[in-house]
Amino acid sequence: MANEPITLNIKKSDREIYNNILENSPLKGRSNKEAFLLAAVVGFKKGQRISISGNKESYVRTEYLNDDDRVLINAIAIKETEKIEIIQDKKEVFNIIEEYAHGGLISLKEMVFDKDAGSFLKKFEAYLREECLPPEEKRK
Amino acid sequence: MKGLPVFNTAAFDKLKKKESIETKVEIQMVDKQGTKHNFVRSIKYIKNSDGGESLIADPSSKEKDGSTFQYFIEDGHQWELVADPKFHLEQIMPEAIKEYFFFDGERLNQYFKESKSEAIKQAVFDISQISVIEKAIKRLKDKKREFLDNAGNLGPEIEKLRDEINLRQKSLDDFKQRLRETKWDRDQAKKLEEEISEELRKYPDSANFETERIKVQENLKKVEEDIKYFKGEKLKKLLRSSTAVIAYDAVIYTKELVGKEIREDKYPPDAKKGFLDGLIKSGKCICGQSLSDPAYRKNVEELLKRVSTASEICSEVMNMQGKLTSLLDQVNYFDEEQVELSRKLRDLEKEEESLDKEHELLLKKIGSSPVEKIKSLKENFEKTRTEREHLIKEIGMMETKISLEEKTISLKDQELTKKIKEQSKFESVTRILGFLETSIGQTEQIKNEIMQEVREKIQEKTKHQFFSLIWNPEAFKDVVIDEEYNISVIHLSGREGIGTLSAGQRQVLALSFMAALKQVSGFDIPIVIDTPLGRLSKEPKNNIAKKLPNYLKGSQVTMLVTEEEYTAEVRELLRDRVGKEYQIILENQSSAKVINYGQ
Repeated sequence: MANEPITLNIKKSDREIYNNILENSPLKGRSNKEAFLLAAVVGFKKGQRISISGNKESYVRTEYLNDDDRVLINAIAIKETEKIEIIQDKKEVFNIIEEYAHGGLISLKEMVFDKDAGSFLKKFEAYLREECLPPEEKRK
Repeated sequence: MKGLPVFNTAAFDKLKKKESIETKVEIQMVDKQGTKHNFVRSIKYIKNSDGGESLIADPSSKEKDGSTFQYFIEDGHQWELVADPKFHLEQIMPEAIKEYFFFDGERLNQYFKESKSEAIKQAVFDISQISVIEKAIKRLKDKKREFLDNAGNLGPEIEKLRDEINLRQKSLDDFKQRLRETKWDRDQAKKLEEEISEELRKYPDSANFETERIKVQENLKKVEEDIKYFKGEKLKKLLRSSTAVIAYDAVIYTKELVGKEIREDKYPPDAKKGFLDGLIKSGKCICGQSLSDPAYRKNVEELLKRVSTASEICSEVMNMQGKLTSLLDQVNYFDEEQVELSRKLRDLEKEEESLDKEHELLLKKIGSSPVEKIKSLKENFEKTRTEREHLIKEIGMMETKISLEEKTISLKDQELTKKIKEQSKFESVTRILGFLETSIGQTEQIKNEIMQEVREKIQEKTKHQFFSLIWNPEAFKDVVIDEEYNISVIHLSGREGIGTLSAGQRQVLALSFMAALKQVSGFDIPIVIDTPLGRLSKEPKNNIAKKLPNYLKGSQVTMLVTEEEYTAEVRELLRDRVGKEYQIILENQSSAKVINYGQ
């Protein structure tokens, strides 16, 4: 794709958090892409878009993004800018998603390392069901 | 097997050193004339300095255990001590047949399971009280041998034959003695086997528990693996849909926006781009204006650039439209997929919990059973059983040998008699010999006739009792004890049915047989049955209890029952024939008390 960056980047200091999540949490064994996208959607849901100051480093090769991932990323950028044309500017689209991932990472970390009773699986399902899933009658 | 001593251990523990304790058992019977008979057996022990006990034997005792045995008879208002109590007891209750009056119902069920013909033959022999006839036959045979030994010069050939017979007879007698001893050993082994078996029943079988525990553990492992797998699947599917679910607002917003802009035809179709491309290549506008003019050409080129961008967006937006629907499908199916997986996991977790509890319970059971003791008891049981099986084989071989030897002796005897008769000079010897042989033959015939008569009577009474006790008499035709002392219960179809009797029916047959023995023996004394309903389950237990009032009508029957046997239903069924009820209550580990119960 024309002008598309070859990687999705993270703040350098976030890598340790990602590593911890992928090595020691219930998400152990999942891919960088999954953790990054999860952090991004959590950040988006919570409205936590934080620009990345300081050093960045590449984290996910964009060639690993499948059609669903790309549509999701585009959808977030469109919603954020309220312009469909934004999808032409891949650099900006990826910038938006990187900033949401940076903003959502702490929330994701809290979610996966939550010490309260109940397994991550149950709590995560409850979170999706209670806070994210639209009521049935509103689903399209 | 060493059990507890006969004395009360609690009382013994209170004794000081060198003090003694006496244990006494007194049985009072009233005969048909109303005369009271009192049998008292007592035994004394002294406490040693080491806290153990030593028997103080009664110097006048004729008993093996050194106990004192006395018999009193009521004379008016006084008790009179009767001399030779054993002799008198033998008149009332012969030692040889006591087991047919005091028996264990729990073991009775085994009675017709193994070596039944031998047990029945022995019972018929005991009840016939023909030991005196047996003694007479033996005495006559000894007399015959003695007579021939002292008959003077019978000639070398006859004397050689006589000596051979004597030698064979002596060897046969020794062999018979060995057979008796072996049979005694076999009976002892059987008794020991039963005692060990009884002891083993007190403990839960840890070996079975261990097998069961391993099985439960394997199932638990499998369920745990399934749970792990389904949790992984659930997480995988949860994560796959989660991004679309979390970013639902963005997805639905974009889908609506895309739909709206497509409907408004905001994006030019690809054909417009091709048309502009064609104009630039041809160098002429549709209006006829040449595009060689840079100003005109720039206008068309800028238009083409805008159209190209719009066209590219259009293509991506069109592509997105389909993918957005697929993302929304993930949101819509999220519930369905997760609910199914959650249900599966819930079921597995319940199963895991139940298996976990079962496993814990089995571990507790294994932990509380004395493994070493059970192991040792089982080893002893196996050893005893092997020994008994060996003895049974040995007895079989000995009996065959005895039978062959008896035939040989009989043939030699006939040969000897023939040779004596052949010589007229032995006329008086022949006459006396003939008399002795006739006497032996007659006595043997009497013995056989008595045994046959007794067998037939027992058969008749057993049949009568069986049909009055059994709850489904219509299923059976007959009860037969044949000449070989095999007992058969003939099914209505005419087939032998003893092998197919249920535990309850077999118990009824055994109770009937015991009642028949008691009746035929002619000894009219009360019967004591320990655990008469054995380990029967509820239905056969109630069936027997319903019919038990018909059992041995006219005789006093004392039943020693356990709580499991004497259920409220059984008690109600027996109520009309129960005169007295007593309950033994265990007060603590070392003492119990007897109380009147119910009535």
